[in-house]
Amino acid sequence: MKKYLKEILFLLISICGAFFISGLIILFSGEHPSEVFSIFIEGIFGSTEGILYTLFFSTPLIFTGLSVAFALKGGLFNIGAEGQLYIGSMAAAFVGFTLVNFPPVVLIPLTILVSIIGGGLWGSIAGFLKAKFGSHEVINTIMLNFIAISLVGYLSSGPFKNPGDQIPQTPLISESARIPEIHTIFPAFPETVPLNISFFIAIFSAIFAYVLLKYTKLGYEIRSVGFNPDASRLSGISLIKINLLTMFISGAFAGMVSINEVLGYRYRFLNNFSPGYGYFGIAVALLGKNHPLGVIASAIFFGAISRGGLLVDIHSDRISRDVIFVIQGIIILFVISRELMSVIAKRKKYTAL
Amino acid sequence: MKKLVEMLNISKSFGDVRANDNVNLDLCEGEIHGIVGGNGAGKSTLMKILFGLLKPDSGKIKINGEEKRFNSTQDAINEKIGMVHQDFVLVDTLSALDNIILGREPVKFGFIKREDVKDEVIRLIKKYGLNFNPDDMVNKLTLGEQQRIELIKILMQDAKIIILDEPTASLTVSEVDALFNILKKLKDSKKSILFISHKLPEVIEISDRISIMRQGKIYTTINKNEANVEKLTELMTGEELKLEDSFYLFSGKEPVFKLENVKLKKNREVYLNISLEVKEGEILGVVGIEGNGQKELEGILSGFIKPDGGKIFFKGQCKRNISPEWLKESKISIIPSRKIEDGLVEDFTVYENCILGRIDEKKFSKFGLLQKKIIVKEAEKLIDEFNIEPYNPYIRVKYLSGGNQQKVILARELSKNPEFLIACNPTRGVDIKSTFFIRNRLLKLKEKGAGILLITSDIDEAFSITSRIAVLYRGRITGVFNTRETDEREIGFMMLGGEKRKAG
Repeated sequence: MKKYLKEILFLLISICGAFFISGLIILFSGEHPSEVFSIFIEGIFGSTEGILYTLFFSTPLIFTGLSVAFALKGGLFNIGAEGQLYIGSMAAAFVGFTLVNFPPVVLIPLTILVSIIGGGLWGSIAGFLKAKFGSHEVINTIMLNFIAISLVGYLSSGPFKNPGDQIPQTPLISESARIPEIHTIFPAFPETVPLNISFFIAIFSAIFAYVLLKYTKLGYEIRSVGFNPDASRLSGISLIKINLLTMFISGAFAGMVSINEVLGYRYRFLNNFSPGYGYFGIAVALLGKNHPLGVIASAIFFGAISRGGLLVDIHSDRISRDVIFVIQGIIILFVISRELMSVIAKRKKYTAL
Repeated sequence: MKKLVEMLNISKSFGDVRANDNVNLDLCEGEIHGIVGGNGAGKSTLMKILFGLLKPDSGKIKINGEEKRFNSTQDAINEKIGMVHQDFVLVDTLSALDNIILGREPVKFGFIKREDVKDEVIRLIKKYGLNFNPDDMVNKLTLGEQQRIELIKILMQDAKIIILDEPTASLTVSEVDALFNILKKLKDSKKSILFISHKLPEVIEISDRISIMRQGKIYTTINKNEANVEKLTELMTGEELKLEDSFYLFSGKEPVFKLENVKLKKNREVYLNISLEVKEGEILGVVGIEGNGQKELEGILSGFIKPDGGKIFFKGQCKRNISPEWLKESKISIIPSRKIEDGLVEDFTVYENCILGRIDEKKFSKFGLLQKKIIVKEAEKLIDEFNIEPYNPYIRVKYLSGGNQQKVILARELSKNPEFLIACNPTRGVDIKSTFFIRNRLLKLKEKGAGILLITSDIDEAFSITSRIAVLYRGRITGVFNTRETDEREIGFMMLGGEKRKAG
């Protein structure tokens, strides 16, 4: 219990530190820090709308955070969530705008399945290369990001482009492929918020990942390989199989970003729709201590910062978008510093002995 | 004699464990003081306290009668204390000299002035008979020579009190002799040495006094002339230890496992070519000086290295190479020499480690879900049977002592009911009680009719439990002897490349 109190205390201190530094930056930009901060905080907690927006922003981050955290449990550093989510989204959009005559009961599960398989297969390419040739997954996933982004860029501006549009995007997906927004289930919630049931799918995915890792044979083998590939190999576990499966599942989580972005919000594939969800996933996983349930909390924190930043952007003329990004970055840096410090402390310990 | 170091009423706890409990220890000038005790008896903790790596919960340290407080190793170094750790780390790709000056390079105008230091190093090498070339690359040096580099580092700091933690654990017989000569010279020049070891004959040979630690306390301190191996063993463990001495009796005729000209090549040159045969119900020991092919042989047997030729037979079935999957299917168990790296998943709990490699057994998972209750029960059974301490299946393996870690591996491998077992240095770094336990277990398995291939660098081990001994020299088996018909001198002679005199 004492340990948790210490953690929380440290979190509070680092948030205060972040506000102090960003306060200085706001002063330089010619605004009142207290005013900006109250907009920031109110934007997040001040209304039902704010809270729901926070959850909406956090949904894709839960998926990508899970993607990174899951791979790390298996000893693999997946930088490729960005590419995997694009492939998954394009696959989902394709099914969504092609099989227009299917009923929702079939089409929704099918599109979700396709996005899982798309992201998963894209991820397992890196897993296969790692297991078969030993080439490092960090390099491979980065390269696969470039390939994926170019590929979907081509598809959305070429063969799958919505005829007549000025921007690279696919046609809208069928009505029966769309998942409901939250206010259709809870009519009390404001209609303006695009939060949809993919948030619950994200929570469910996190629980799924947790159970898979902790209670199943496959999870045991994944963690075993993650901790010690040599001992796992000697015990007869197939590294090829486990690396492949780890990266498939990791990629699948990334691909599921499409449930929020394609099936629940835009209803189409828009080129470059991701502001870097895949890369944010690394920070989300780090802050969530690679624990599937920690990832949820961490993603909501990141979602809140996005929401607050957005409101400051709308309300203030003097603070430019870039300054908001800087502030967001400072907050993230301060909060993550705890993790960085423990990494450094560990390293120090080794050199001391 | 003058007391140089006094440690008074030192206590240190980790959580509920009292690692040191009111320990009193002194060290005189020009004395070699041996410290023995089982794994987890508190030797290392005590030494880390003296070297400033740990702070005691209570108690005092006096140097030359003056009370001192060590907040860091630097404080200890300032009091002329130096320590050679068991697992020292040198930079492989630098020369010995560069390793010595690493971290405190003598710099002038941004350039390193090596020459000044080199003279000093050469002087020390000559004075104490350290006998290595400071310009050699570290990766060309033997472990013994590397250890001497560590010693020089300490001597350069003008240390008067030298702590050696398990210095002989990975040395060959001749290197141990060389080390002891150095220690005697150090002693003659009034240096004081604390010598920690599991190997009792060595401790008795080199020490003036011997302290026995047991469960965090110094049980007693005796003089060299009162000590013998039996007495020390009894003092350390509080009981008499014995090997089951049935090992010569039975050896089946049928070979279980056979290697026929299994080769490894480098640049078209064959540097390993091994033929050997393990019969059912026998322990075949493969002995040799480290670096004569043990690592490669283990690699081939565990499936990490593919041989470049030759045949491998198991119960008549012929193979070109081995894979871990095949080992698992054939019920061949292996105790790897690197227990932490290859044998255990350190961050897993004891119960999770107990099923490593057995996870496919039907009772442990249902529809892909782990049957935790059954697994924990199985682990508890093994903990019980193998006296693994503490009795706790939920503790992470990395928190166990070395001997208990080794027991976890042994317990798991034997629980697979193997027909053939490959054991690589199964008792290295393990305390005497666990050593006896492990050897007895191997004998028991052999009695059940399994064949065991024991690759060991410990001749005593080979003589105490094997039926036959094969000598490995420069990648070849140069002779096979019936254990009963040979002696340590003959085997030692063969290990150094001697010719075989009689048929085995």
